Amino acid sequence: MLIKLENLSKTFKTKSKEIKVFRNINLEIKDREMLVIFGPSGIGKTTLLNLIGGMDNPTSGKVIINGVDLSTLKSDELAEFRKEKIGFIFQIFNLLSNLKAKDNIALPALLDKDLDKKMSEIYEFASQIGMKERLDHKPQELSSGEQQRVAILRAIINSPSIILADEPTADLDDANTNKIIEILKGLNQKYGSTLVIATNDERTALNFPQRYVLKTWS
Amino acid sequence: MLIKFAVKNLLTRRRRSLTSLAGISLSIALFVSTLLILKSAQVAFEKPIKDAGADIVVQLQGEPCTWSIVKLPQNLNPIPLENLDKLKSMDDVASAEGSLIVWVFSARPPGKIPLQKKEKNNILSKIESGELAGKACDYGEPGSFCDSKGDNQSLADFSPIVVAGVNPEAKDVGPVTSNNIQNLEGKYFSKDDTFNTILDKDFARTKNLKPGDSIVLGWRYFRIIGIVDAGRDAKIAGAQAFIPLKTAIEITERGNIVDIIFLKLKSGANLDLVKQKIKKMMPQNATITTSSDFLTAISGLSSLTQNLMLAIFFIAIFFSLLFIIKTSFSSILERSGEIGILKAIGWKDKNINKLIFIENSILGALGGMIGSIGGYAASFIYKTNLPSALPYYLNPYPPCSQHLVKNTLQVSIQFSANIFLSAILLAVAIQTLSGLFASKKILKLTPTDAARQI
Repeated sequence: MLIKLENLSKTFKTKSKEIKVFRNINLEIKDREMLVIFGPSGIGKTTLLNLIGGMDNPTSGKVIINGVDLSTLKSDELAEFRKEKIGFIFQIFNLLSNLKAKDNIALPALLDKDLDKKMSEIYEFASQIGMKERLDHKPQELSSGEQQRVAILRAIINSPSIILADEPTADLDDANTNKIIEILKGLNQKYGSTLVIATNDERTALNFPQRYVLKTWS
Repeated sequence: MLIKFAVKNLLTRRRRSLTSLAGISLSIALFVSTLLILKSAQVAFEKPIKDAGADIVVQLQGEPCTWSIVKLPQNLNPIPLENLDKLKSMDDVASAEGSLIVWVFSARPPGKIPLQKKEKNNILSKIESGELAGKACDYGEPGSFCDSKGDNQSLADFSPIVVAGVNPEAKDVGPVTSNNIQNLEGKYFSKDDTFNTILDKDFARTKNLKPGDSIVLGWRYFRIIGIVDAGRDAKIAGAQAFIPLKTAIEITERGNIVDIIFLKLKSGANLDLVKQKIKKMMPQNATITTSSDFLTAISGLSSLTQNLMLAIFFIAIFFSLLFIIKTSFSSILERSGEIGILKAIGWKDKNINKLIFIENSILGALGGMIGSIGGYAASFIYKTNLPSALPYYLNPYPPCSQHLVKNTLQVSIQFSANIFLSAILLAVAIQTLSGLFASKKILKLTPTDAARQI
């Protein structure tokens, strides 16, 4: 799935000040490509991923996915787009603490008729990444690495064509970092998903062939 | 699936669910108990005046009590019959009836001839056959009291009896009438009855009397023609024995008087206006009780105080409902992070709204039910603090009476399906609407902004 960013700028406005995050980003990410957006903390990597995922609105410019300008979509169309096309792996996992891992994973497809089928595929993949036995636990009963894997499972339940991963290896030890990188690469190869990863970790970035370095506003 | 997820959400967020449930239950309990108690009190307080078939009761305030074998209650003054006629002729009055409530004592008059042993059986058979009805009680052992059996009686039987003289031809208005008398054993008065009486069932049982027996009321023998079971409710001009009005007037020996007048108004008549007119027609010491100020008469509270209490009740209800809104609103706002995540992973706004609607409906219905049951229970506690006796002037009885007239208002908290259903619907409506209102606010945010608040 082709992702095109045209003159993309984002500024946050508060009552007292304006925070300029980035401006005039022009970028094209090809179908099935694996791209790392690299840069220091606070540079706007998460914001950029949010814009690509249709979860935030740019101050100016366009996000075009497969020829569709996201700014032209209504709220429900955007929700449908996020559900069908995007798998988002949040930096802080964003798992609901009251639900078991398997219920968190099922959330994006909860209202789908083929939920059971999707879940059986997820169980299969969960056993490949060593998570099958942990799915009956609540997030707070899981390690950070396990929570990250639950977040990945939730992101892929609808077989999205774009996976956006925000600092997927942050706070993970080397073993877990390698495991997550392996899983993400596997997703790209197995499902043909376009993979966009935001990270400030050089080791993680070096694992992927394409890198886009995000620079400061100035 | 959404319902299952909503239930799971409620069960897994126990503290939040219980807080909401407690808030709704408490508010609804207050709402239900207030309505139930108001409704029950209104029914109980209005019953005596409704039972008498009247809209207005007119009396004159009493004069000091003087000794007499048949006398007016100590707080009531005689009302000449002309006044009754005047009231009857008023345009707005559909019907009016007077009653004469008297207290009668059964002591044998001094200096009367002691009953001789050989005459006793003869006299007794005459008493029992009712042949002596209307005759004075001239018989008995020295120092004894007049009694239907003519025997020596204990001092307890000396206690006064409350007797009400009623118009035998009255159809709808009065303490007992041909149309509103229920549970009558025997028969009702006929037009020309004189020394016939109808007894209250409890009183008759205490005295071991039945229809066909005789009883001495004010030194006169009366033949018992009926026994009425008036139930346990307080009655205006409730009595232990009812006799024809003209006989009551005769044995009272105070001229053509009554001491309580019942008025039924024509439909559409203005109660307050008629009350004002009656005030002008009657002496200054007239007590005029209408159905609308009956609560004041019973509770002893002024209408201002009642209004104030009602206002406090409604303010309490208002704030308790506000509490539901606040709890529901805050509970949803707290979940903005969760809602943001749901949006981010592709949930449409309408599905999020459905989820909130289902969750809040369940909470509202459960809270409404628990609150209704709680309110029903609480209303029993309120009930014990309600004024429960008719004011003395409406139902006077002698302080020394062994046989008290029924003066207690039976306030019974009645199950009201309407109130329960309304309470549950109200809880569901407020809970869901405030929840949806709060979610609308969150759904306006982008998923990022909403999720940022987790």
